Amino acid sequence: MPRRASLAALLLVLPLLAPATKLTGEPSAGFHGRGPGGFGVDGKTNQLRIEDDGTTLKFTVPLAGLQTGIGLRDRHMREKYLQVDKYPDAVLEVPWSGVKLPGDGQTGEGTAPGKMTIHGKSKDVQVKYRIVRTGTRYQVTGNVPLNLKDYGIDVPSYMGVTVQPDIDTSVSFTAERS
Amino acid sequence: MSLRTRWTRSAGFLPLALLLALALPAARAHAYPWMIQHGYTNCSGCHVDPSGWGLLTEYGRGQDQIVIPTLWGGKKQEDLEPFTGIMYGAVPLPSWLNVGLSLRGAVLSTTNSGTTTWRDILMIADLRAGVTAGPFLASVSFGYVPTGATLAAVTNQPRDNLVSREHWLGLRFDDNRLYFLGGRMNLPFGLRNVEHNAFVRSSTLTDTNSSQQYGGQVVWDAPGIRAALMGIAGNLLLRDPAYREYGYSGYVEGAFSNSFTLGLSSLVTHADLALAQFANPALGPDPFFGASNSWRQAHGLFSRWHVGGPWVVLAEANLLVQTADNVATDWGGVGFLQADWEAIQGLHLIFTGEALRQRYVNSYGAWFSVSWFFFTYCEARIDVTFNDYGMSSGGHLPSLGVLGQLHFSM
Repeated sequence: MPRRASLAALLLVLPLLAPATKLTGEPSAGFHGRGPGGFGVDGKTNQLRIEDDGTTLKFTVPLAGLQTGIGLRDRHMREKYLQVDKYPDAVLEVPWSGVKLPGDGQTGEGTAPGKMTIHGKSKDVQVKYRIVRTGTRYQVTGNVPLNLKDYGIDVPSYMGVTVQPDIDTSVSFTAERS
Repeated sequence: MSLRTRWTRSAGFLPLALLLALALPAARAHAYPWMIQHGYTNCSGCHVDPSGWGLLTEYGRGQDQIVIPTLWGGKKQEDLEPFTGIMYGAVPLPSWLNVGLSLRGAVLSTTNSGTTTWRDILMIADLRAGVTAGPFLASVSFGYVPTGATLAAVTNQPRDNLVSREHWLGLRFDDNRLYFLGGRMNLPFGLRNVEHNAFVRSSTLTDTNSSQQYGGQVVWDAPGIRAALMGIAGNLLLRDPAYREYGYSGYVEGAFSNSFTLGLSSLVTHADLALAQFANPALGPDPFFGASNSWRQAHGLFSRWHVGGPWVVLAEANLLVQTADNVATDWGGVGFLQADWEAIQGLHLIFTGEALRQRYVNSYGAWFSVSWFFFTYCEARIDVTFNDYGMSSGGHLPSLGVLGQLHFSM
């Protein structure tokens, strides 16, 4: 019994020992898609959550808040393509083991393996990141190219314009890490 | 001498030229550089002409209903279901066929030297049709104007002319990035802004009202960059070939984000005999008009910037050079700065400043405009324009114009 209690206590304490990563300021997440010729479409949201269990960083973007600047396009994106009522979030998980943190006052860039989950489907991805560190403050930008077809998302097409299935996704945020 | 140019030598040059400079129609069917507010840095998604203006594609017709007009009854953009056809959906169109209609009427008040004149004008009555079928492109416009737009007139009357501002064929490749166009087209140069009588358009003869030329054009339209180069083979609608200009016009514009672009334009033309330019009608008889061996150059920068929220800034500045036999070389310049504030969807308050140096004389202009797309396809616009025209004699001629317009365009 005492042994069991010790184990429970250890499990409770472990997350507290893990380094905490907390967002400061306004984060952003978005995507850039391309159509025929020079046609482009950008989506953006300031809703981004980060969870850090000490081994994995988990980024969650509620997709209902994604905006492209045109209301009707947003509705089509939410309802017809992303189906946010069924799949409300995009989730990116990145193990800390793949991330190289720069020293104080330095900038680090690299590529880390991760797992992206969108539209109910998960796929291994490569996350290109850039981190600028000032003390315990980290300014982070990350990019993940992905193909909509890999996630079972219909290729958006509207009134003669079809978006290419390859899009770029990005996150940008500042965090404090103790 | 052709009818198109003869009038500039008439005894009543100054008042007539002033009136025309202010009255020539703002042939603004669809040419809205402030669409960068919605993240559109390229034009080819919405327009058959990849450099913008005029006939809309199916996608453009959709945007015309979603983002352009004021939405009534508490409707939001996401509540709309745009019709793909024309005439409010009453006439369906296949995706490859594009048809448009533009009707614009106006009343103009001009005050010069304490005298105010009023005039009503049918500015534009054009029917447009075009094809966007796979690699094939075509566009043609045909219309009627009682006065003005003589450079685009296919008939040869002092007034009441039939006009065709553009008619061209094209091919496009590489996922619509590479275009080859041939025919009568707008000159690729600077901002394709709707105020065709702004100094930047009238001094470079690159307006969309009637300054189109015949020739061949190569367009590159890709993410982050667009460019066009046109070989000018003259305006064949000018019956006297001596006045036709030959040369090139082009631009390259980079989009540094989806809210800021910077472009470079260049134009060089040669004509056996020079046409008159109306940028500053108070200059009096144009020393270049009719001069032989005329070279005309314009080189400059232009920019579109979505500052944020409802604000868009458009800017253009060009160096102007003109030479001809027995006429002193004219080194000049022209600048244009415009801020567009979309107070509510469809209602634009537009503030414009412009400056011109031509024939060693400075002129200035300030515009305040209200453009209200009060219903789908319908626009009401008022332009209050104050110009301070420099005169060769050293004085200045102030001029106040108030132009009210009603425009139906689809």
